[in-house]
Amino acid sequence: MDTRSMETDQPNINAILNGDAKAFATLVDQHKNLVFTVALRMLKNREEAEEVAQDTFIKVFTSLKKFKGECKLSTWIYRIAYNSCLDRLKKVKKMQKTVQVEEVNNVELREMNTVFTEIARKEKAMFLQECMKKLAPKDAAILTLFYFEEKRLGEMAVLLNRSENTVKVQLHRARTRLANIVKDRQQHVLKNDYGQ
Amino acid sequence: MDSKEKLEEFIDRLMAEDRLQTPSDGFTQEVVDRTLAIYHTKIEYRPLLPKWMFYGFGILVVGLILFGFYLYTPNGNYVNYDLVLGKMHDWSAQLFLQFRLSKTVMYIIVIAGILACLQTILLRKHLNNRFA
Repeated sequence: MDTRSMETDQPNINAILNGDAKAFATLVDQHKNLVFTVALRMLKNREEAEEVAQDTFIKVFTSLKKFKGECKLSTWIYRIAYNSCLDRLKKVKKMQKTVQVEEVNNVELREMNTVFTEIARKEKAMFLQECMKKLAPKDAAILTLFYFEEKRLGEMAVLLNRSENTVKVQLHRARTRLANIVKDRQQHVLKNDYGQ
Repeated sequence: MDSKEKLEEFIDRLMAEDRLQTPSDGFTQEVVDRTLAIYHTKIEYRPLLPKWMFYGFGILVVGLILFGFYLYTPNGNYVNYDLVLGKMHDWSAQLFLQFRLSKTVMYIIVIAGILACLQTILLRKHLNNRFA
């Protein structure tokens, strides 16, 4: 289920606190895909991502009584997921070095747009996934959460525990880095396919 | 349109094609099972001090109460302090007659006491972290 169209069926927090498994399963089903995607893009490993995603929901369950509703429940859950991933990365010292931000000019952007248009729809998602794998954990998380969570800077600021301006800057840097990766990948694909 | 906006537009277009990944089929059930196990776990309270220590403490308290009754005089004063001090003086004079404490030993005892206090703080922190 795509989170872009969710949040309509709010889970009953009181029922979950009283041990209602069905209500908790609804909550897990609503958020598991985004939690798992963020974990996968940060940790770059399916098994680890699944483990951290499970631990995230366990933490959600054990800390739900502390949730006072100062932000959206989904924001609170994704914040736990993001922090759990950071903890895991610190634990295994796998924090990928961030690549220096290299601005992309308008001509390059136009070329990338043209190439991207020509890629078949089904392959676009695959292409994007490959690019995401090369992105640093924090950049991948910020882009994924922003584009799947209503694109609100305010919510992102709460989620990442940063100011809105900082989030804006981080988002721009993440976009630039992704554009650079897309550029390199497109060149690589063109070279392989057409020998250009 | 500046390059920042163009970049934003391009990434927006790119991310519109993005799809969420799905975890394994049994994901929800596994999470629910784990949480139910946590929910139904009964907390077992174990006493911090062993029973014999409680009995010892009880005997000590009863002893002190009896000692209090022994010292009680009905003439208005609740405790006959002269009697207590006199008894204590005799007892300590007997016990510490040959006892001499050098300054070095006293300093060692003080340092050991400070270290014990520090260790208590560290130990408490360690145990809190371990059982958090």
